[in-house]
Amino acid sequence: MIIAFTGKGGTGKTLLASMTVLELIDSNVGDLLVIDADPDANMPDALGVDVETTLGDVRERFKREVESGELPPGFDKQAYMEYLVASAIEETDDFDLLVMGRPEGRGCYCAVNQWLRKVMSDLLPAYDAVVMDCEAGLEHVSRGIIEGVDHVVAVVDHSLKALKTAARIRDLLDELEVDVGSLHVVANRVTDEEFEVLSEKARELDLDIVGRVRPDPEVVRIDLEGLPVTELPPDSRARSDLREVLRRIGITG
Amino acid sequence: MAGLEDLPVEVSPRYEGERIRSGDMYVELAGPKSFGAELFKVMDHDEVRDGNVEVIGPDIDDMEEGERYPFGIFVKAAGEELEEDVEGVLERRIHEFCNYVEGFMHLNQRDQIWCRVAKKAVEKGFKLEHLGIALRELFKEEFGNVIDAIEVVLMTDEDKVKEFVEYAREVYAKRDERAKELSEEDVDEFYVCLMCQSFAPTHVCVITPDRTSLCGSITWHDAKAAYKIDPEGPIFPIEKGECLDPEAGEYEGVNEAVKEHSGGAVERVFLHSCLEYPHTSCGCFQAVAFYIPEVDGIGIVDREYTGDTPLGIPFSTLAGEASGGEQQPGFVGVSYGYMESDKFLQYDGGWERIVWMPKELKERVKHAIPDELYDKIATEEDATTVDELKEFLEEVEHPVVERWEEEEEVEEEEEKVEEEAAPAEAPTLEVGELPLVPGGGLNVKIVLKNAKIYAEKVIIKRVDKEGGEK
Repeated sequence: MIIAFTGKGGTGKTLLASMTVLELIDSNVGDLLVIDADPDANMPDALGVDVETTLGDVRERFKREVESGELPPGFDKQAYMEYLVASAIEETDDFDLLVMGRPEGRGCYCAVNQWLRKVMSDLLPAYDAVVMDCEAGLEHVSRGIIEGVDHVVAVVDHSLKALKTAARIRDLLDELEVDVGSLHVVANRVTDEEFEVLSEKARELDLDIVGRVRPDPEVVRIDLEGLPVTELPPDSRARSDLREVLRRIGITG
Repeated sequence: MAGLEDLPVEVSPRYEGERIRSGDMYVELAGPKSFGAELFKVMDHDEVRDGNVEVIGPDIDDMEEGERYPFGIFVKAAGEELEEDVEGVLERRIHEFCNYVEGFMHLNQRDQIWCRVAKKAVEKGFKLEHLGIALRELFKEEFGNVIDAIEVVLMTDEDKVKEFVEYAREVYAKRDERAKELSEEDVDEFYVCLMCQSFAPTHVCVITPDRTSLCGSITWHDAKAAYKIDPEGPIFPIEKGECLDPEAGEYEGVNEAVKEHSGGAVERVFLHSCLEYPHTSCGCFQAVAFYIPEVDGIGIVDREYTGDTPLGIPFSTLAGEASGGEQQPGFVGVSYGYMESDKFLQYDGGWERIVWMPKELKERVKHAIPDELYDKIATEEDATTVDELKEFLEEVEHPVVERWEEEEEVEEEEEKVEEEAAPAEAPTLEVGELPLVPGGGLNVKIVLKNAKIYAEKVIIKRVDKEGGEK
């Protein structure tokens, strides 16, 4: 199962993605991979993990070595790419974490990405669940680096702008040639009154909001103190609300 | 002797792709935080103790859980028909066979292997000795027709692995030397890559031992491996066919393949020429070679250089001209790897025809440029205009200068004839009609090479695709 979180910046998709990771761990999902695919996001901080290398770093290294002819002629580049990706995965007791990091630079990435796609398509099914934090453009999905997404969760807050971004994401998904499963719009940091108004606005945009996570003083506290999301107690309001949403979507039982 | 069925863990292709996370791992062997190597070596019969499987250093039961150890995998084989040049191919199978073993993970190759043993395998009684047995049996099963004797030595002893890694590196180096010597004459198949057709629909990248893909990423060896992994993919073999012109690098099989996969847009390709029937270019090329008519030479500019070429335009503009999958005489996309080939643009004169390169590029491929020519090739420090280039080439007596002299001689002779035969103001050569060859994206194609034509008027007429005038 691959779940991608996306949405307008600042809506709290990293928070929701991180809390989803916690829910999956608590439900004993099995092998879990977390992918930070938003250059502006900070899954490692949210989950309290230090990351040394990113996929962008190893891709650049691979590209440089390939193009300069440093690699020996009989060297199997597919196996080498697999090794580099594995070396960029940060492992913890509960989950693995891969940060996509910097975007492509100058030059041609056709061949490099071809190798990378193969590695990713072998790697992802080895996990029982994959949780991704993506920017609104879903670059890695649209480029086919990450395939087989089952759920796309578009996070909105109380702003119309965020709703419009969610609508754009829906249109983008429709245009994609690859199958990306179903789209779920989830409201974050909204009161029940705001949620009602928001749901109405959403209907005007042909969107259906599946659920909401209410404002939580616990979340404000960890934000203020710069603590990881893992510090949120399981019975906090935000985590309980999200648990309900995930159950409704069918991500957890 | 123990067989696969006697092992405590299963051995099957279905365990390939099994990932052992650090939490599930009993020990890690080699890898980025330790060291190790693997080697498949063809040896004489008396050097191989047939059937022997040996572990030098601690085996699993003497290892600490959660620790990391150096690791060496040494497969020795002998056989009447077993040749040294298959070592590389058979060595790649170590990766595959190791991953068949339940609870054992193997990544990468050569002196960069990274292995893990799963806790659950150790619980079942797995030892490294069993890995050795699995390797021996799988090699015999698959290559019993050529392998007469096989021995597997696994090493975890630090000093022993160090020694082995050094030895393995020497073997890899020799093997790579041999692979580098491989050329178009030595193989029957070339490869074609259509990866870039999404944006250059008529571009067919032909990959030979002498010519890597234009993007520089795919060598002939890579193409071969890629096809094996994904036979339905964008890279596949083509028959080389008869060599129609060894200098030009024109092959029957290449012409046929290019015609078929370009949808008929390109019918003929000289693999080693920029001037005639050049290979098409996608847009991904690392560098572009371009003809400079004023000096009758070829310049090369790569993506890294952002300044202007003597033509007064930078790489990006030239790249735009050359890309798109159309055959354009005078422009050809090239990779750094191709510049190192002995066949590099040999039809046009090879390095003797190269007159300009950015300084950094020149330095980068220094080892490929003949010593006597190195200082004769201008860089942006010597010339940024065609006039400066001309001056420089004359000063250093670049081989292309001889071409100019030959031309001038011909010119002088012609002038003499003209003076004798015709009155002063008559044209040297009267052209009743100038035939134009349709091609490329333009509806006209003009190649004026070494031509000295004096005419009152040159009329260029639009010609339709079928070749008839309109």
